[in-house]
Amino acid sequence: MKTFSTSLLLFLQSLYLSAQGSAHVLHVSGQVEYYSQHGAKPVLLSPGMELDMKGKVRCKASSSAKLLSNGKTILVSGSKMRDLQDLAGAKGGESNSGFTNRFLNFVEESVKEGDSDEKLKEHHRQYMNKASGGVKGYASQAYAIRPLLISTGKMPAAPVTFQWRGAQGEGPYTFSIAEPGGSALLQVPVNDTMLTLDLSQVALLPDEEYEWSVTRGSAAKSPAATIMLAPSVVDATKNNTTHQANYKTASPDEQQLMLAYAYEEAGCYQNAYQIYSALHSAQPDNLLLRRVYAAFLARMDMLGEAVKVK
Amino acid sequence: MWRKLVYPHSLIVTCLVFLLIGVLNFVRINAHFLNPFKETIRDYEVTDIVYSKLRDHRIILDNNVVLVNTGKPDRDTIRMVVDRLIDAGAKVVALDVLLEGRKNAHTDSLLRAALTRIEKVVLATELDAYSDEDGKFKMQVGCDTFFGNYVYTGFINFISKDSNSTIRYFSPREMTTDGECLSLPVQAAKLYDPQATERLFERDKKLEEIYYTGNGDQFIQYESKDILSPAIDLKKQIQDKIVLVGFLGTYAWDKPMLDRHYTPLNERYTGRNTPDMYGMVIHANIIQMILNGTYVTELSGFAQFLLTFLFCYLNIHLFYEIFRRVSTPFHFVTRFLQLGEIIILFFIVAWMFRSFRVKLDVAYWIASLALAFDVIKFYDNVIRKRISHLGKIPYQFTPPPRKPQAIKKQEEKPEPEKAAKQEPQLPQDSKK
Repeated sequence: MKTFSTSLLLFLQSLYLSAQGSAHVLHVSGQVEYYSQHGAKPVLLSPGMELDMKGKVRCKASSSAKLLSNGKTILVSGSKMRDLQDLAGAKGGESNSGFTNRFLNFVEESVKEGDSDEKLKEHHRQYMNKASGGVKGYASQAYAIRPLLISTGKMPAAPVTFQWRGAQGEGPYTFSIAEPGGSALLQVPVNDTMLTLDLSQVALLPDEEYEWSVTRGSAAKSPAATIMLAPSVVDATKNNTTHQANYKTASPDEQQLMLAYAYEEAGCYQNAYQIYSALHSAQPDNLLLRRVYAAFLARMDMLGEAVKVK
Repeated sequence: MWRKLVYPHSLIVTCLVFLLIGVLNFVRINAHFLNPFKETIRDYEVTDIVYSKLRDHRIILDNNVVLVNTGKPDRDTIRMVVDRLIDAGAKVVALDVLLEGRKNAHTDSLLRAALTRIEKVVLATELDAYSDEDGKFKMQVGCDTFFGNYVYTGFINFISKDSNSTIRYFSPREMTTDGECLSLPVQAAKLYDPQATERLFERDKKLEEIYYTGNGDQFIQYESKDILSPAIDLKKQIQDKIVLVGFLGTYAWDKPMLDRHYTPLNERYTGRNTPDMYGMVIHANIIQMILNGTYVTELSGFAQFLLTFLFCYLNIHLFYEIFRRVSTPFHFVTRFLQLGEIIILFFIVAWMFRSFRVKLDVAYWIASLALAFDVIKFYDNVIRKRISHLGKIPYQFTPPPRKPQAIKKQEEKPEPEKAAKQEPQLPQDSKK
């Protein structure tokens, strides 16, 4: 009996472990990082790789990947660190009923579709949001305040300037930092459309995402902008760049430009901004630096500032 | 035994139903006003619902075929990709890219050198200029002889009435003026596994129905930049596999329309939707089908006829029996039965296809079911009354002589009411 129960336990455990399973990379677009465990060195995904489901993935910029786990595809996108098991779990919620159930569901849906026209006429407003021909603009009217791109992404543990486009109205802005979907960790009333905070002094966890937003009065608000305190990424980017042979042979200005570009590529916009800004301040008449700085500002959706610099 | 099974009037009505179906089939209506409807449903088969709605969406990764998306490549890129694939140990490299004409002597020479590095490379061609006289294609286009003369070629034509038709079938081989030519997937499969391809040829079918296993997610998909990246170790995934190189959009939001076709896997199985599958993925599905031997089986014409006849006969007999037992709600019960049977038929068709890849054509079954009720009425109320000989035919043939005990029992004088119940009666019109 004891042997039987032990075998059963082992069998169930093996079943559980096999259910945890692995995921195969079907396709990768851009650069997607895989962390086999917390603190592990990231590995870039390539098609055909087999991943342990205990790991995490994160996409760089607009990269994405398609994985296959337990017979289902998982699409990974976004710069947020994602747990593979969570992603697979979200997919697992979808129904995977047998053939007979699928057949009965199909017949039931077919019957329901029979009166869909009548339903459409009766409740047409419910369907209006499913078919809209509008082309989306750059900013939603729902948000009167717009955070600037340079105040998002990976941040250094140093003074950082948060900037936003203001809204008409009276009274101060309220700047907040919060956990995604959580309550505010920090709130500061601000008179201007920018605020400089020393992030090394704020109790933010490294490599975790936070959201900042701004409100003014009861009506004007901004969408949540995502930041991550990532001094390790900043340092790694700097190290990678400064160790390149081209960097070593370049002039000091070129070195700074190379570093700024590498920061931008890595999503460390604030660091890139600081370098471009410093270069421009030091040599305001240098046409090349002006143009490069203006191009950066334009990429950061700061066209007004870019035109002035140019 | 046969006397118990054969009901003469049911048999006659069955023949009448078949006659009517034949006439309706012969006199096809081609009214212009029906065109929109016709256009919507003409390219539809019941099994499309199985693919579209009832199939198991669980994806099983294929271990034989790998896809490489080259986009719209230049020949230098193709050459580098082919080189890398050969270095990684690909068993067969099939290019779903037309190398039409000669571009640059240097580039073309290098590409040919790369293509001829291994024996098992297949290039795509297109068959053209079919001649009805000898049943041969006069031209193979799309692949310059500078390349095509040194490697295997395979045609990439799909069988489709027009660009909006669903791709269901493929032709394994065709005759050209230069001899027999295999299709690209068949040629690739033949180079990979000759025995599996021999099984395809043994079936000796001019057309094979494609058994689709998925929309491409069952295959590992590389971008050409992945192949060219020295940081990626390709050996593990590429070695000893068939690599299809061609045009492929990967994500739903960024799928260009080039070389995209309708397949039965389309989410919307009737009407028009956007094409759902790239040509290269269709080729990959064909290769997978050949290697796994998962062919679709269709019943022969005779078997179809026999089954349809049997189905029709049993239904007509059932309707007669219902009428004999419950004549008042006959209409209601019969119509309800027809509806129920159609759903059950659909289930059987779907289940047979899904479980055994057997394709049943139940169009005539449904037609016979729909006509049965009215033909019975017409036969009973008009034909039987006008043709006196039919009135003399019993509802059921007289059973053979029974055992002596049974005869003795029959000899006993039965009560008049009981006797009336025992004697089979022909159905009467319910209005009577």
